[in-house]
Amino acid sequence: MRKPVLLIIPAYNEEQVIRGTLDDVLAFQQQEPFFDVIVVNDGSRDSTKQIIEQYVPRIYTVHLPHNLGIGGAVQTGYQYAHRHQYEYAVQFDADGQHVIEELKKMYDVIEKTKSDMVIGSRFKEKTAYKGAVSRRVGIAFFTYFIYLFTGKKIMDPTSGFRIKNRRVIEAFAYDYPSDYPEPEVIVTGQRKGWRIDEISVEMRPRQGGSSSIHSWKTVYYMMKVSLAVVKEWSK
Amino acid sequence: MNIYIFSVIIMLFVYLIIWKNVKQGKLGVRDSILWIVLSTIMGLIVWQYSWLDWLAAQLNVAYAPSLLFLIAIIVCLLFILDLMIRLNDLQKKHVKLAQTVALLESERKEQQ
Repeated sequence: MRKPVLLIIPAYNEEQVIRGTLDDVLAFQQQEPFFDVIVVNDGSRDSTKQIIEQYVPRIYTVHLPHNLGIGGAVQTGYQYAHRHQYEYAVQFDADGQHVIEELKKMYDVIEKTKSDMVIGSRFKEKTAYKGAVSRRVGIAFFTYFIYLFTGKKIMDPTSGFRIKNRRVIEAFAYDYPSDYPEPEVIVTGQRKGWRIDEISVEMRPRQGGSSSIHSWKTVYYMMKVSLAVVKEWSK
Repeated sequence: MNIYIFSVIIMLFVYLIIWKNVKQGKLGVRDSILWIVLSTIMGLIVWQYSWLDWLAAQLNVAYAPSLLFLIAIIVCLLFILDLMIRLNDLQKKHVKLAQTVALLESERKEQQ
């Protein structure tokens, strides 16, 4: 029997942290059994696959034949959600940044407001999150860049911790950006007339591994996301 | 051997390579047309090099061969652009295929 919510955990070489994340998620699932869990193994070359297989049948797994990148991995989760008719889907980071207890809050809000997408935000209200100044400046840039084009102010446009309804799941299963998708899909949503809300959630620093956005990739990230926002807006 | 004979030999050699690759299925018929056309244009310029001089004069290019280089570079860039567009399309199809295979495999395991 499928639950109404599918928690999608994309994982690429996350052997250091995936066990802790899954233990937390499954412990919370015992208390609040309103969601299923799927881990999309994005062609990991370490022991991530072996670790997540130990959790079957408590979780569902999909093993991609090779690394497709974050967009491809998350989209696989949406395709799974679409095929199995889940009401809602949530992306959840394997690196321990997202706090599973906040999922209930997001689920309650989307049920109550009937929004198409609810974004879990680090900056909507003051939280314990302490990110690097450069990262905060980058996020603020995208907040106002998106606002400039869409008139919608999202304080944490790079947050991947979002709950989406069937309408959005279907759209993402069909088409989803290959990398750094979060800011871009806000513009997609505005263009398509989706109702997007943002609520404050707690997040932690990553618990292991390393960020995919570093050194020269920061420049690429800023350029790629800015161009993608303009592209989406001009469609 | 002068440069004209050499160019004709190269042109014929290009035709031969294209034909061999089309026959073996390594090159699509659609793509082969582009190479045949390019090779023919090169041959025409060799045969009637006064055409290049005329075109250079019309465009105020003092040294005609430099115009040939410019045209060649533009054609190369357009060709690269076309390849990138086709590569992007293939990449998208490849991602969908990999996802479908992975999902079917996952569902097969779930049913066991």
